[in-house]
Amino acid sequence: MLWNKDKSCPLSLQDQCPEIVVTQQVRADLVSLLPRLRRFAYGLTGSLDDGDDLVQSACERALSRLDQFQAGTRLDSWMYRIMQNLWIDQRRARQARPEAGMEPVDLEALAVGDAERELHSRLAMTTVQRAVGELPEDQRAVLLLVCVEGLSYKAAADVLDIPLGTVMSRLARARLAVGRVLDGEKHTPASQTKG
Amino acid sequence: MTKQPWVESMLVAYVDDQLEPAQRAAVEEIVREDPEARAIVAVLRGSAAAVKNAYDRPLREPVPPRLVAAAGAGEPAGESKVVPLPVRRRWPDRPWAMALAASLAALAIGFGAGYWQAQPSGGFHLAGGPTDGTDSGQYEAALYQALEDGSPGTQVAYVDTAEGRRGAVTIVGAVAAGVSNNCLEFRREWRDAANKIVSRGLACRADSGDWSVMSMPPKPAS
Repeated sequence: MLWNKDKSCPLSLQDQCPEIVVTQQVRADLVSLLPRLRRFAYGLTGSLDDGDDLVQSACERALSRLDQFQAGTRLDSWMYRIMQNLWIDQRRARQARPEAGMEPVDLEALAVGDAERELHSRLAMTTVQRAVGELPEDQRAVLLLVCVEGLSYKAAADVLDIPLGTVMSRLARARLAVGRVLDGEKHTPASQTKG
Repeated sequence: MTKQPWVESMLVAYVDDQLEPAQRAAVEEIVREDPEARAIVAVLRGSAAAVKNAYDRPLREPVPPRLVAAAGAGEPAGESKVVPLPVRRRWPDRPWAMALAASLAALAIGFGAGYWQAQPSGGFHLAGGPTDGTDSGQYEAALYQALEDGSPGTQVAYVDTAEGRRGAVTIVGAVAAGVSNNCLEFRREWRDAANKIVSRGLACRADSGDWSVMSMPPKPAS
């Protein structure tokens, strides 16, 4: 068999080798992105298990459509987009399902932390998650991309394929809604917001 | 909080520092003058801080293996065509095969020269362990042929007219035994009028070239 210069590729397969190298690089990058993809999926679905299912489907879809990934662009943005689209598709498919099911609060886990402060922070966390879970899908996606994943408005607009102004208005509405829930939690159990 | 939507948009961009300098100065002025705008800014800031780490649990936990497998551990489709050295597959989820391979390889080495070379050259030997008592010449020939080919997925069918059975041997893949690099896992299926049986087995090749074969207990296929 004849080989190319650096002996990485048989001459007979020369056209295919760069593609294979790219594929392997993307796979490696994808593995290192997994923790963040899981976090985004956790936020979208409101459940670690559903989130992991979503990450798995997204990885499979991405690897089956690698030809659509443009080398040099951000892999994370591409993955966020695939996940969001898959999630929307899934939500449409099972309309019967209520809005992002939240995981039940694990009372045993809550009791394990001996510091009272940790207990409070865990309780606060579930309130935030509940507030985010109640948002409309489009607002939740923007909120997670910007406030959790740390994307710029421009990057979030690219992921969701929406104008910059829409990112801003959805983000503002989402944050005000979450703020209202947190505020209500802090002061009185009943919602006193108006307008 | 009944500001115009565009005001809220500008305020959120102001909080997140995403405005051009000129816009930023304009919004700063609004916030300075308008208590309601200041209240909105406080809420926008507070909710962002509250959400920021709300979903960090996956960052503190190991990634489930199934996701690592989905993302990158699998071999790309065209790889075997290109990579010059055969990729040795591992079967971490088959401890029985690993253990069996190690013991078979040790057996082959232990008896080594003396025992195995006494067998007819190029043949194979059914080593101890459970067998289903139905080994026939046709099966052995099919198994030998499949092992000699050795690539995963290779299937050799056979017909045992004396027993009224037909079956097939399929190579599952190489097993990393740690001791010998020449162990293959295979799968055997046969059926007759009454039964359909599936069993798994392992074959390790000794230096002499002979195969030692061990079959796992068969179970009826559903």
